[in-house]
Amino acid sequence: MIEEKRSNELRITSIQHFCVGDGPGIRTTVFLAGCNMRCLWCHNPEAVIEDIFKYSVLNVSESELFEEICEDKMFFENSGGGVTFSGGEPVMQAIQLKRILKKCKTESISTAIETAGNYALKILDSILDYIDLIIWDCKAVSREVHIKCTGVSNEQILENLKVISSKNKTLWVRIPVVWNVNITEEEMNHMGKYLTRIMPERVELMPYHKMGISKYDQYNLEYRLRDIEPPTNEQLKLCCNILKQYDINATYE
Amino acid sequence: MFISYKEQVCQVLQNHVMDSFEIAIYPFGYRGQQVKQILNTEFQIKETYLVDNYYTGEIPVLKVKEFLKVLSEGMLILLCCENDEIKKQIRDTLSEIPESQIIDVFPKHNIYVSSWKDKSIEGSTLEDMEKLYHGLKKLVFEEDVTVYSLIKPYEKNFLMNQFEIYCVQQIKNRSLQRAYSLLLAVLLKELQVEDGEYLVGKAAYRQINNTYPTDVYEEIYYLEKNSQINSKEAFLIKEAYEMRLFTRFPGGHTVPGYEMILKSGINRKLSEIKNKYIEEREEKEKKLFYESQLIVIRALQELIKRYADASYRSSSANKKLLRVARNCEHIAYKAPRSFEQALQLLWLSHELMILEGNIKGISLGRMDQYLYPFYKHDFDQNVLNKEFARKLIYVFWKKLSFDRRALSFQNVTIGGEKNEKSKDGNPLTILFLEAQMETRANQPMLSLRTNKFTSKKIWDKALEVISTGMGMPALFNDEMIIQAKMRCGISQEDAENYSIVGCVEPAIGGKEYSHTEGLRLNVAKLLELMFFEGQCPVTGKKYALEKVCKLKEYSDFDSFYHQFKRELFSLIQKACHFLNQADLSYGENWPAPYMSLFMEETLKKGRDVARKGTKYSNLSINFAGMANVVNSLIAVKIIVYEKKLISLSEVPMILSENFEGYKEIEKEICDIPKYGNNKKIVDELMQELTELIISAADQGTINEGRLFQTGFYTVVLHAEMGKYMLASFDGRKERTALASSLSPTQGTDIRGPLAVFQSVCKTPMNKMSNGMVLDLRFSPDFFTDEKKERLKESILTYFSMGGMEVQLNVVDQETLNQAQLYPDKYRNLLVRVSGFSTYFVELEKEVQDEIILRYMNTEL
Repeated sequence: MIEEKRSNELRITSIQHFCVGDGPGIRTTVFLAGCNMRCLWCHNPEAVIEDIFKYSVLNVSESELFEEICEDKMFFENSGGGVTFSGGEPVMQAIQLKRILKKCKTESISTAIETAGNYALKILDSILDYIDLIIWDCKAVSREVHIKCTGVSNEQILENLKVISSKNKTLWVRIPVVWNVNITEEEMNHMGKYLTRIMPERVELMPYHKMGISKYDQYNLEYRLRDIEPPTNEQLKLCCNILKQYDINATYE
Repeated sequence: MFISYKEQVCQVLQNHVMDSFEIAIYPFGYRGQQVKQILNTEFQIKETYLVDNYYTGEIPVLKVKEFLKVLSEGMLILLCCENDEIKKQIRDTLSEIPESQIIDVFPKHNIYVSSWKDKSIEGSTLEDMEKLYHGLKKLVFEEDVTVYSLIKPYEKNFLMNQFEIYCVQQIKNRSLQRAYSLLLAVLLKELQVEDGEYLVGKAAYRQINNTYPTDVYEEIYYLEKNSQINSKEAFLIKEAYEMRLFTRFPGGHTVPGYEMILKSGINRKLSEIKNKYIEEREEKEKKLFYESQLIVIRALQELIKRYADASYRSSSANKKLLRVARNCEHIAYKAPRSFEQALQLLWLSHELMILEGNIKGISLGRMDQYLYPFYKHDFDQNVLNKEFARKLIYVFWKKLSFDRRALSFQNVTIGGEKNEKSKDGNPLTILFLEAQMETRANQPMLSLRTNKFTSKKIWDKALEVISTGMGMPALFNDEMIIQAKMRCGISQEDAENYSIVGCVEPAIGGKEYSHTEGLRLNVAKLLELMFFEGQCPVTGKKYALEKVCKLKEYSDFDSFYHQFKRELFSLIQKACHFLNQADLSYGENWPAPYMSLFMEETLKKGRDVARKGTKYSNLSINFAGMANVVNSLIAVKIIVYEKKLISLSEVPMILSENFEGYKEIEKEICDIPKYGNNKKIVDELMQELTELIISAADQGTINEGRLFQTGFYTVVLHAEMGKYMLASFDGRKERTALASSLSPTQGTDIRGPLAVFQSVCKTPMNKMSNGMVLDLRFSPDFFTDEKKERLKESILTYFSMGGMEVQLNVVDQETLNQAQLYPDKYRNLLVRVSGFSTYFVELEKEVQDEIILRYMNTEL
């Protein structure tokens, strides 16, 4: 499933400079194309649905990409920031990703990946040394909910998480909150219980928003959550309060 | 010499237009437009015809041929130009019309010639004026106030006019003329003592008549009259102005050393002047200068005394005024003892500065620094608490924004402490920031000096104020500015004490008089002129290029670019020469005795500020259209010489057609890298051109070793200049705004603010002694706590890479669109436009459009 293409090119959908949410400090976020999950609420279909890659994906060489990352080095240094690889699932292009991460480390650029964690342990192992921060997108902890929402089971993911937490890596967790889809009071409790074991440095709730719908329309794709509304403030507060019972401080915007 | 253009025009019109029912304005150039405005607004008369063969604007205008057909008996033709040649031509064209029907609105030799006839005019006689003059003299030298009884019988405006005419005719020295006018203006000033205020005083728009020229034409008139330029030069300068190859707003634009008078008090200053007056009485020039100084300091004293009296008189109705009266009584003679008195003296000193006619860009300097000793004293003595201090500051802030015609571009500089005084810095810095947020007025302009000692508290407060969307404070990097100032002969100690004048021009308060708005050249226009062999395609006016060359002769990009650089260099040399001549003319015709009072060394040298009496008196030259020129040149390089899609001689046609019918070329241009995206090829060109400009200005060095300070900020002039231009080869459409200041062209900085920072940092900002501006726009959600911190870090990085200034607008696009549609609902929407904050709804549509276009730096 993971691409083993021996190429010097990466498939990306965009590079965003001056990102201030995807990790500490000022960051450049690179969105890599390709994903092995199909979340119902996905708001980056252009990086996920292969049928439309011909419209949305750019091929850039590793050196080009690395050069662009280096552009903002001064800003990284002064703010404690760096580069974040997101997507899609960035680890889908593990070989190229690893080389870029390695180069970043030699240039003392701090690195982060935003990942759902759905791949073999040995792949994770191969890149973990070059990553300073892992932002784990936790869609669900219960197996059934995970399958329902993403199309895949989460056994491998939870296995990987255990390894990460044992390796003394900084870990942030992001939870998409799509009320009554992946999140219910019950699921929130599952998450709380699970998260106390891996002790992330930071937990962020990401309220579902409808801004992705226009992309589906643009590419003529079917969108399955049209009737779902963003969570209310009360629902978000409730989620926070549940996590608090497990001594987890979650934030949301 | 004392009647402004407007009054002159009014007088001429008054005598004729009232009885005529058909009026034609001919020609309809700049002068014609002025006359039309006066006719429409002052007389409420609508002209019947506008006549001009060359007018290219939007108002319907008749060609001369058509006009001759509709000519009728009794129609009045207003001849609206100054050039004798043109006048003669017009008169020839209209030879069948009786002379009486043609009114010369700008009769050259009659302008500024007095209407004083037969030694008496409508109720006053020459003797009356002589008495008044001696009365004023007695007030100055003997403190005799009988002059008040002499002015009582007259209507104020009438008396003022008559006396100024008298001054011009009887007192030969210009400084004395202006000083006595100012003194009389003080005696005649209508005082309003407001209820419930802690500080008195209100700026009045009506200034003494004897003030600066109202426009470039009037200046050129004087330059020519004084033989500083010949008529051919005068003609060329006017042509260049009419196509907006340059603009200028001389005068004002200074930070007076108000601090000095706060420290010494009036009496001490007065006795210093008296001593000098006695010491140097043998030297006629100096003696006259000292006399002017005596007159103006008396004027200030008299103003304060009158306010004291007025407050006493009204204090029975309002007890607070008793306190005001006592404060005024004290500061009329002695140095202020409290924060309250210091603010009062500061305000009244400023009020009189405006009365002298220094209306533009008179800035207050480092207010938080020089007021701090008063604040601290009161605080330590327990006579002032923070709440009262806050009240006083709000009152002061409101005074600064009271009359928008009189009070503009008053900059207040805060911050920039040289060491860590305390954890939080100077408390006044914070209070001023809060006052700005509270009053939400567009005046004063607030500038924050930052350096490594700027405390977190100040940064946080500043970003909080910025986040409310008023574009203030602008942020300045001490290190770069100090370097830039030292480069033009300013000592390190003085440079470290810089403050901001007008928009963003660094100056040394009380020590530097540098006409920061001396001249602004439109670099993009020069490129246009090269495409059109020196003839402006919009106005038809001509500019003498160094080398007029057929475009097809440029066989490669380098030869074209090389010639552009030569033209640029030569244009700058010409501009420096003109500035120098104009400056000499100012020294001669418009000394500023009151402003001189507040500038160090004028007393020692015995010279007016306008005659280089200050410690530093460099001249300034600014540049507009930078990003347009750089992007256009790159487009020429790629499209004409690399891709060979068109030839260079086709470019003028494409520009004339505003890209209509050339969509593919337009698309190609759109895809070419643009300045502001951290692209080497473009940024290097920008670097080379800015370096070239600065070194050309350096070589314009003039008499007495004064240097030209270069500035790269455009206020709103990039819109004005753009109106006089066709499309440009960077893709800009005809008559739209040029790029603002040193910012990227509107909407082309697609790689976000960090790329903009890096592009700008390729230019040598530490040599831009007259300042520069970088505008960035952010949506409000950028100002949440965590993101705000990132923003600050990005600005600090920009500064560490050599950035000098940045200003942040915080609004969302929707708000701006709404404001454009429903201006009534958004009257208080402040935005920052190249160097100054103003109300969005008051801007012209072009400028509004530009602000909306400016790329939104928001996370997707």
